[in-house]
Amino acid sequence: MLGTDRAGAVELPGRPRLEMLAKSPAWKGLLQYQNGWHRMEESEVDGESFFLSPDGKKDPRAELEATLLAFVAPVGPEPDSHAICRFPARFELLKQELANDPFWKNLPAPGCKNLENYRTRMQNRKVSVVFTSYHPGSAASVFGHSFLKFSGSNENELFDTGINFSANPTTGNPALYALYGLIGVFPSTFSALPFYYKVREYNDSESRDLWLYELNLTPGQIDRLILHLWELGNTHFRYYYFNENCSYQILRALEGALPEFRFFTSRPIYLIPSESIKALYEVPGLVRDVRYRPSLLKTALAGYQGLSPNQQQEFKQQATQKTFQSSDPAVLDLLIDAIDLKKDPEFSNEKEKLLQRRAQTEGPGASREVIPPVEERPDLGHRSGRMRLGSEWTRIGQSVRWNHLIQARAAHHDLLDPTEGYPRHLHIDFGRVGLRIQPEANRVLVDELTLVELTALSPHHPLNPGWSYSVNVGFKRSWTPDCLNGLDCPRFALGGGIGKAASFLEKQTLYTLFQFEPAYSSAFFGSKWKLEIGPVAGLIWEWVPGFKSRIEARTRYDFTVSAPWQHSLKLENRIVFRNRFGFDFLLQRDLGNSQTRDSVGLNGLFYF
Amino acid sequence: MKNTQLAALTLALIITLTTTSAHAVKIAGRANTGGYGAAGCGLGSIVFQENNKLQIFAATTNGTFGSQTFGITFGTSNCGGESMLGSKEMVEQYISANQNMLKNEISRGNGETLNGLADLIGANNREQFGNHLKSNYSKIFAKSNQTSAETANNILSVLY
Repeated sequence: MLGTDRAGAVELPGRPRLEMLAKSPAWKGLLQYQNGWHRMEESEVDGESFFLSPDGKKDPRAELEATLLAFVAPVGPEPDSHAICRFPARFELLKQELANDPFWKNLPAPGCKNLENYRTRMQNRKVSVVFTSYHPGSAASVFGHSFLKFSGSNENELFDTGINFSANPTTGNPALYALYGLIGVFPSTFSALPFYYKVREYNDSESRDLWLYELNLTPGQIDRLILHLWELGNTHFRYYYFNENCSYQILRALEGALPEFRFFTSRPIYLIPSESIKALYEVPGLVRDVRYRPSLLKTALAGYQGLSPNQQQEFKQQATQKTFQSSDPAVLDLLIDAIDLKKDPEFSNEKEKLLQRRAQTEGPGASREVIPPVEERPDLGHRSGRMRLGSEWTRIGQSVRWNHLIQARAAHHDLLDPTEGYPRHLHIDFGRVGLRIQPEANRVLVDELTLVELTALSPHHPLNPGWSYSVNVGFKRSWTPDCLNGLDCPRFALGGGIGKAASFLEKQTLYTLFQFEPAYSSAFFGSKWKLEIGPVAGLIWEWVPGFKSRIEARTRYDFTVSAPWQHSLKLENRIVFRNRFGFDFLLQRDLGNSQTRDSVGLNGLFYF
Repeated sequence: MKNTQLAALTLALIITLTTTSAHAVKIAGRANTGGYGAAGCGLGSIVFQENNKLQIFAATTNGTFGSQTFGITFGTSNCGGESMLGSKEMVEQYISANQNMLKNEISRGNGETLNGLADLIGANNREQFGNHLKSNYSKIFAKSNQTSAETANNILSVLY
């Protein structure tokens, strides 16, 4: 946009000064430069209008010169599109770094109306990073989400502003949607919404907890962040589910505006939202306060807890019989919550009647106070990556073997990992790779390549009558009596299950699921495809934090073999110290086609 | 509640509500998500498309600037709190976005969302405000599936 003729007419500040400034973290931060593959450095912004120089994405010096020239360019018919209005954070930085330089003497004053509008409306007292808890109902947000919240002087938090980074999908096709989300097809942008939209979306509609991490920022720092967000908010990025995602860009916006904070030395291979919260703690003193906003379910559970036994009885009766005749305000409140949690439009008439009845009933009603479940705070959890090394002794008939196992998990948490910082009943493993070393045979085999393994247990409660379910996708070795090699058969499997769970004491969970698993293996005797179905039942027991046991029994019916029944019984114990390292001990017996396989395993664990 | 202050405000609101009813509900370049939400963890604002809340939000905006996400949501919208308190758009938008919770809290006569409405309208005595709306519940929610503009009108008429 600037011809060389005009560039020639303006005297830029001295070269050595510019050279140094172009290399400074403050300048490169505002341009969102990052070390990517092979440590090649370039800007992660993909919107062309973000750069004033055609080489700006890769050349910070060219962008610096172009920016300086654009600042002194005459104001056009649309003052708001002048560089001073579009890049106020760059403007502030350069004015400060090149103070007293004669370069600034003919600076135009465009009068940035849009920017001023934004600055007066943007709340600037406090900034929080908000973690939105896990949402197993949706693949896109199963790991949670994070966004920024700006607070002003208004005491009602609902009027705060949420700054969100998200993809703008261009397809409704689920397969393309998943693929495009992974490979960076969707453009993604920052957007701003009143916080009450976020509360309604997450707390109410999706029933997810919010954890708010208030940052210890000075007014000057908050101002820089606000100006930088203006620059980022008017451009776009390509969206990559694993690394250039919401949580990453939130931290990068902070880094860009405030180079005194460093969260990344280069672009990570993946970043999940809960790890981005832990990253805040790598800057000492950055988090000033942690607050909690309960989901609708947690609010209702607390309300239920506060009822007398008689009231609880009345609630259960009316909820199951759907009579809704109570005259007790607290019971009415919980019946209303129960219908909201169900999200079933079939009950909208009943809800209307309940609300009218409630409006005619005096009394404080059910308590809405929830004690924050501190043990679920995501920053307190173990790191979600895990290494597991160990040995396994197996006996099939008369043959006895030793195997060594090496397993690495990218993310995130299974039901025997320490509960602190995680929801107690949600297991999501994503990207798990295992190798099996067979010393006698002198070979190394791939033991597993698990793409995803998810178990969402939903303990039964009058307010939460939902189903529990499981999903697993990947390659693994597992024993079946019809394995051609008489050992463990490698198989590609895609399994699922549905069932019920109960938590009779707080730290004990009982579950049963009916599972099905279609599988393929070239090592199966006879048909290479098989379909196994059958029930699994288990009990998980947390003795003390970090020490858990699970006993699990499973029966499977295999449609493709002549002796179709197989049974297994497994006992696992895991002890983890300081959420960092530990070990587990396994005992398992499998039965099928009059064969028995026994195994004993001992593994060390390290969370990273 | 402070009757004079509230009466003046409500009168002003009713006038604006009734005189400027035409809102072109348009939202460019945001549709076609097919209900799957955004990729990755950033579901963002798209969720609200299923029940038209985002449309109503966007209807109060007026983008004229470049690639626009921020321009639209910030330039003319009401994210900023104080300066927009009491404006017709903000009250209606607030009622629309919070409809379900507001209904629940009006039936109880108290709650955070109802307090927010009291702040917006300028009612200083939150308790009285809540009780008054509670006792007028059936007038405010006179018919099922009413629009947020109708709800806003009804609320203002019972406050009068």
